[in-house]
Amino acid sequence: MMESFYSKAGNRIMAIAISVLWLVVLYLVLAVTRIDPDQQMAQKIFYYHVPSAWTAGIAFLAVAVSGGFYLFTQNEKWDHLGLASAELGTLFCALVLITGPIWAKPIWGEPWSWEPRLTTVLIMFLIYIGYFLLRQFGEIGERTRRVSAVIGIAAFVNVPIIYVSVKFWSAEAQLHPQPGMSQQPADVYWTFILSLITFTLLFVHLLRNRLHLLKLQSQMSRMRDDI
Amino acid sequence: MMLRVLLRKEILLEMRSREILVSMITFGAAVVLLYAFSFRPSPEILRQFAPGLLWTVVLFVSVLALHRSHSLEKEFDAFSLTLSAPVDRSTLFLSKWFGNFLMLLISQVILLPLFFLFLQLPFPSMPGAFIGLLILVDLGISSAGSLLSGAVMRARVNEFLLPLLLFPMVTPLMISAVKSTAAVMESQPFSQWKLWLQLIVSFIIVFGLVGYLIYDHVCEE
Amino acid sequence: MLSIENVSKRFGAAAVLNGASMRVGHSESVGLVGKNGSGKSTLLRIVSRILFCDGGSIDWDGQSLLGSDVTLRRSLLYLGHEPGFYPALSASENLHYLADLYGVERSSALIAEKLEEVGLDSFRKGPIRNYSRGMLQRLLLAKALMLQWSLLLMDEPTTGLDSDGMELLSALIASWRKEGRSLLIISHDNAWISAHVDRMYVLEEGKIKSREGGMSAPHHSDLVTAV
Repeated sequence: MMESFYSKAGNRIMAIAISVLWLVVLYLVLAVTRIDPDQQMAQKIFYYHVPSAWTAGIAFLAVAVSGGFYLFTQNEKWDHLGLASAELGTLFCALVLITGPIWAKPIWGEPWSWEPRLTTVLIMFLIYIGYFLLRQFGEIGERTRRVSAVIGIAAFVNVPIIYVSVKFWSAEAQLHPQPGMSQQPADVYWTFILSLITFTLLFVHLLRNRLHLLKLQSQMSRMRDDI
Repeated sequence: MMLRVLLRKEILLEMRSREILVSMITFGAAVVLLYAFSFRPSPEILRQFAPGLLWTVVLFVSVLALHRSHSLEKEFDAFSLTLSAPVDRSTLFLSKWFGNFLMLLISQVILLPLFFLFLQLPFPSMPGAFIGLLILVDLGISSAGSLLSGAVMRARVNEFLLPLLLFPMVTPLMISAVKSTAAVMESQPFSQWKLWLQLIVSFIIVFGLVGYLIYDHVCEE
Repeated sequence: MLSIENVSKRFGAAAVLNGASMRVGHSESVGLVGKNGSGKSTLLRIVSRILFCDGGSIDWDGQSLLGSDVTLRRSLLYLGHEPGFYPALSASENLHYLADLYGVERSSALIAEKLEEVGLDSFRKGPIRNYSRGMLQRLLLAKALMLQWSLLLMDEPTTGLDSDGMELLSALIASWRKEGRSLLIISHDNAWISAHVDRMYVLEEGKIKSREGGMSAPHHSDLVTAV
């Protein structure tokens, strides 16, 4: 009943596949894709920065949706999905917040410029710090799960308002590059798509791993009750 | 009407204990004084900072009311009286929302004159627009705040969890409030700050609606 | 009729209720006994919708009490172990608010009359924060006198009462039973409770384990103390 996540062959294959993909993306990014004449090597971080943001977005959407389902069904599995997505979303948020300034330092001359998207990600990151503290310090149990679901939903519906307000607030800030992906040359385009796929697969894999762990935890606490 | 009954109770409680307003006003006055001592540059510079200072005072002070609005329900298990009664939980949310809104507004009637007096600032030349803004932002803070304060009321460290969740959540509201107040203080035409007003209104609608729909799920004893 | 089916509730890792089922028929007085921390109060609070349950169903005359239809709550009245009144308000202000919540008559003459009935008429004005435990218990009885309920849920109603108060409580329970109203009473005092109920349930390890006639009191209290 309590088997480890990697005792399933499918999961082992998936982990290996993602690692290989990761190396392929790294190779493509460093050795194959063209070097941007203006930004030089700094531009390469785009292949990691954007997929991180994309993944964080999916994760926070998943938190809000599973929060809604949890409130109406009270099924523990939705809470697990919400918690696992929140953790991963925050992790990828952190990657965005790290890679953004690394790129901005050489290009804009300053690491932090209150760029609207980056600022929105920072605010989401802060809300989710509160979310985890709540899970930590709330009573463990049904009530905390409900409240987490509510916070997840509230945080997500707030995103557009945060984004618009930050955008007009820092109108003078440096503009975020907006490359139209379809106009990019093939090497850039396909490397980016491959990286996006790799990140998404990594997210799903980590999510399933975490869900498995959460399920084991709740099985264990139920067994403890029965003893 | 049930909302009136619940709101009447909120006001009666505050009239009897006076603890929320007294703590809000003394704390707010202390912060304003602190600002007055810390920032004594030229009036020019202070005028630029005034909207930001004003809204930080309002936000800090509001946490006291928001926190208290649910923590006072824990004493004597008083919340069980309302929760077990035939009361719709959405109506209960509205009563907390409007109750907190009233507390914010009343405290500001005293704190704002102090703010303008001690920081030696002229009162905004468009008082109608300024007061209208104040009312809207208070509605926004108390909508998100009532939902969050209800959500964390049973957590062990709710005193610090509430501001921790509330502050980032109301960032867009605070940005819009600061920007529009600055515009009003400089007597800019409405078209210049219309966007900020729209943002404030959408914040109120979103959090009012979310609170109305899901407060039932967070308020438990 | 109140019917509780398979109700469960966990607080964190601890399962307080684990499939508790019981019934209270019309004009029936039912006792619920059990050790400290056995979940008696939790069950009563779930029935009163002060707490949510994790699973199970609670019906009143075939209609679910867990739904959002609040009108059904008029039939039930909860007298908790804690006062359940606002300490900053006076006795009459609290009763005034109570009457408003349930939409019943609330003239000051009526409130004064009910307070006199429970022996609190001379303490009508000051905040109830200064009341003794027994006085608060009397105020709870006034709550039951103010409203028209069909089922009264009482959690340890004898706490802090003096001998006068005990007599008052017994007289009120007797008159309510005569009127054909239903009662569900929690108490740790087996001798006292068995004199006031038609039958008794024992709550043990989250389940309702035995159901016996309340008349066989001595045998029953033996059973409970043995547990």
